[in-house]
Amino acid sequence: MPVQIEVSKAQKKQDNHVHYIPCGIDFSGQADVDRNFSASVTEEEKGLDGRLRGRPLKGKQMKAPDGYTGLVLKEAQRSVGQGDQQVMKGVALFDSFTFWNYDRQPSRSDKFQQSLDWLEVASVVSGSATLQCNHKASVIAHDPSLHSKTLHHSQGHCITGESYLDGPGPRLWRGKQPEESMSL
Amino acid sequence: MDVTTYTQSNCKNAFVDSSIPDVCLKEPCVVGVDEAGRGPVLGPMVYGICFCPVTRHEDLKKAGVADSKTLKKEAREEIFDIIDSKNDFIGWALEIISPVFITTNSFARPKVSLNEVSHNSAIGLIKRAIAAGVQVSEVYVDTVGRPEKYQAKLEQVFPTLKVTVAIKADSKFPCVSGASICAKVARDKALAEWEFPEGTEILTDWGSGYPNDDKAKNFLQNSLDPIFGFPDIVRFSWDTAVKLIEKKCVTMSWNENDEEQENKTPSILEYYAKSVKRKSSDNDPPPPAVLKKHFFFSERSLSNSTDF
Repeated sequence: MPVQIEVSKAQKKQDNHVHYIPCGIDFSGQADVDRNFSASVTEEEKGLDGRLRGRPLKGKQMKAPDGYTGLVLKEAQRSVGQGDQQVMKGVALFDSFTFWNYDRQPSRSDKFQQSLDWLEVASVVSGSATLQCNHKASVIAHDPSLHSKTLHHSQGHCITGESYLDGPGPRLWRGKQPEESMSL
Repeated sequence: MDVTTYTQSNCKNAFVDSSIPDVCLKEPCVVGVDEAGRGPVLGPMVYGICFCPVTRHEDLKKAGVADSKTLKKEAREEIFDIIDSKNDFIGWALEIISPVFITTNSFARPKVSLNEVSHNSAIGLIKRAIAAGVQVSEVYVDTVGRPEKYQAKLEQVFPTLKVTVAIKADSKFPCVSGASICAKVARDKALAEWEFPEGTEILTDWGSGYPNDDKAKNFLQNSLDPIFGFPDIVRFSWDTAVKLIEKKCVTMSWNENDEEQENKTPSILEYYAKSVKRKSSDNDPPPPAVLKKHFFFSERSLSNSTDF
């Protein structure tokens, strides 16, 4: 069953920040990310230092690959007559995000960074392709403009590492998002 | 005692020192090492050294420096004031080890145990005194772990010093009692002046901070966030804290378990050639070939997907 992705309403918001966390979080909803996570992040010589539930995290600011945009998706409610058609709505765009490893500096040896190679390979391979990688990871995103923070769970998948070739239009660097509702 | 170097940024370790008495720069000195706040589930652990000339070691006792475990908070502060007032021959130095440091070390890969953190801090403080010019000749240490092992470790690091590691050293050697008192006063102070970057609405009555204290239990319950767990003052790695999070918080599954599996050594049997079992009929069609994905994908944990 093809998945329909609507991106028309996805907007880039200032201060909208996405974190890639090296764990699965069994929750989707509001959480005070700024106060409980971002506030404790410090910039050290080798990169960013953070912690979540006491776990030491080492992070790095990363940019979306050239020609791609990060996209936060939310599953839209299915209307009658739509059948099994799954509709994902883009709710936010991002160009950069923070990638976090468990007590290890992010590097090229991370499977996550390697998985992005696919984007380049896919652009050479003909036809459309959809890929999904098996990392267990979560996304924490927040949007101060709503006076609330959002915590997204990607249910055992990473936010990126999937490429979605969209024909002649703009290429999406698709973000894997939870089935449950979320706000951003 | 002024512990603002620590309290202004309480997630990072900090040193607090007395000024060094001139006599300690000239005469051989005894150094006592002890710690405060090892067991509590919250707050910093403080490591302390207290030093004075060998010839004046007994004067410490005469001044009233005694085993701090038998003392109440107020009495400890009084004795600290005595130590402070005798800065003409007594010096001290402390390292305040933040709960964040303790927590992240015990969750680090590889894990750094509290014993190791303690040993490193003690060694660091002795080196600090030596670097500052104190003529260290004898070191007395309250043990962490097995005394023989710890003693051997210290003797290796400080081959020229006379090292004595003992159980309950704080009741045997006045310089260790002094170190213990300085450390305890600093811990009390750091906790009393604790500022919560997470917010001020947190109840701040945690009693002794020991896991079996009802007030401490209450504090843990009340400060718990379903997503992020405890504020930074809590040592997340303590059994009490781990159990509360398991019971009351959203499940977080860390990749650490996966990596352990990946690193598992394969059974030796896997190196042997598989014995081929011949079926009764050779005419059966061969099993369909399974297309194996190129390692480009498996190495990157990439697999096909058609939906979300």
